[in-house]
Amino acid sequence: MRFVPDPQPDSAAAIRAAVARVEDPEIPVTLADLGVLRAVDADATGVRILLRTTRLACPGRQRMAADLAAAVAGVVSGLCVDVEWDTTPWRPEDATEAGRQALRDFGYAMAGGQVPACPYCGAGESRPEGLRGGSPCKVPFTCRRCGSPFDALAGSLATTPELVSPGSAAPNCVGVRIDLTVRPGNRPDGSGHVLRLEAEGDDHPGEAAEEGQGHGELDDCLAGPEVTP
Amino acid sequence: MNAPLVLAWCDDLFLQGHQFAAWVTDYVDLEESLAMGSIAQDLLAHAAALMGTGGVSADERDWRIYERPAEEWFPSRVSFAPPGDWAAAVARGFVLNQATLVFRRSADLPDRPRVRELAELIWAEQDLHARHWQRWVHLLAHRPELSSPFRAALEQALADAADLFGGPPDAEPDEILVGATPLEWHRQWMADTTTALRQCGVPVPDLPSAPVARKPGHTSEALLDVLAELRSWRPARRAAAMGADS
Repeated sequence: MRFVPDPQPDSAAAIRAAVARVEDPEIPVTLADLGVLRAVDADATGVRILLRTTRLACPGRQRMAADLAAAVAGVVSGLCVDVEWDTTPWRPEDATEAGRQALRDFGYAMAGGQVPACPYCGAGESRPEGLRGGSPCKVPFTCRRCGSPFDALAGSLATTPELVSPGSAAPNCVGVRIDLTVRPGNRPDGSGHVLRLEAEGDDHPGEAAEEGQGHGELDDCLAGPEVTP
Repeated sequence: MNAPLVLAWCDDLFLQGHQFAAWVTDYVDLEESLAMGSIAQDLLAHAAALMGTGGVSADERDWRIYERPAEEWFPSRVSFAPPGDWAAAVARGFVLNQATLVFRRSADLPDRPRVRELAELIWAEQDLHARHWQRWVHLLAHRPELSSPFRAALEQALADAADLFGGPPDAEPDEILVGATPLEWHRQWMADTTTALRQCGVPVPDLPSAPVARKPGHTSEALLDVLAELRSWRPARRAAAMGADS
């Protein structure tokens, strides 16, 4: 660790302020307002920062650490910055109200055991589109009123509305139509497959399976990567 | 810290995460591709975090993945089977997830708050995986056109799972996972798996009645292929990192 004497009496406060302005790598909201930044301890020996990511597998960790180090260096160069990762589960309640508003402004909601309100129209009538979204901490929804798709942030302990009930005798995937369609895939050899799930009666079905490209060839499709269309 | 079963478990999580990641591109239904990508990232992160509880440093972690001889890997057969199709992926995901959740119910973690907290966090995240896999188990098992190949894949995965709680041969008792014997964990896994399959309306195949020891990785061509693939990327990744630093 490099020891750098604190050059300014108030530089610790300046460091904390600079760290508090660092934003999430993906969403333009500060880590502090998102509830990810948990503690900053700055003194003449260095800066220790505690972060609590929304999930263990947060892909933004390295970027967050680099951005925080840069923020500190912008105030006092040469200080050792030690980033620690908290293993306490992040919860939607960890975000500040300002953070929640910023998330809504950018089209995100919070998942927390109830159907999240649409960040665009405010309706609490959203439909879950799956258990996982574009990154480990997101769950996709579609608003039933305005039709907007949006992501809700979900922590490790935040539950999402049940798509299935594994504990029940009849999980409600019964009303799902499977549509397997063979078509040239995205592998270099052209193999691949499409598997489409649509809830029966879904008023917003996803991309429709293409017609005439192998409907009914389910056994072949199930072989997945081995299929040669 | 002596943690042979936890570290073998990390081999499972890493290998399954690595193999699931391939479905991000191979399985082109968007939502499911995203889900598989997230599950794969979770599994890799869980492996890394568990290695930390076993006293493995970041440098040692890289060594274990990129340089450790195959003879020193001890993954379950569930984890190093050839990649297979979607039915096999679902079956293996379900089986390994069920085994992970067994520890939540029956492991008496040592009285170290950080280990306990991390374990609880990992298990909470695996709960979401359980919902994902059980949805798929139900779905594939009940489609007339899909059930036959899925049930065959499930039977194979369950048979391969005999070594899940076996640990490396002649290993010392694990100092992290304590409170029950491997046989007791195995029996708990049998009971939980039976319950989960019945809840999904799936006939329960014969389950291995007792845990068997894991085999070293060099006995598996599938694992050797994975390791060769991983290690072929290593120089390029290092070069890219050095370029980014310069």
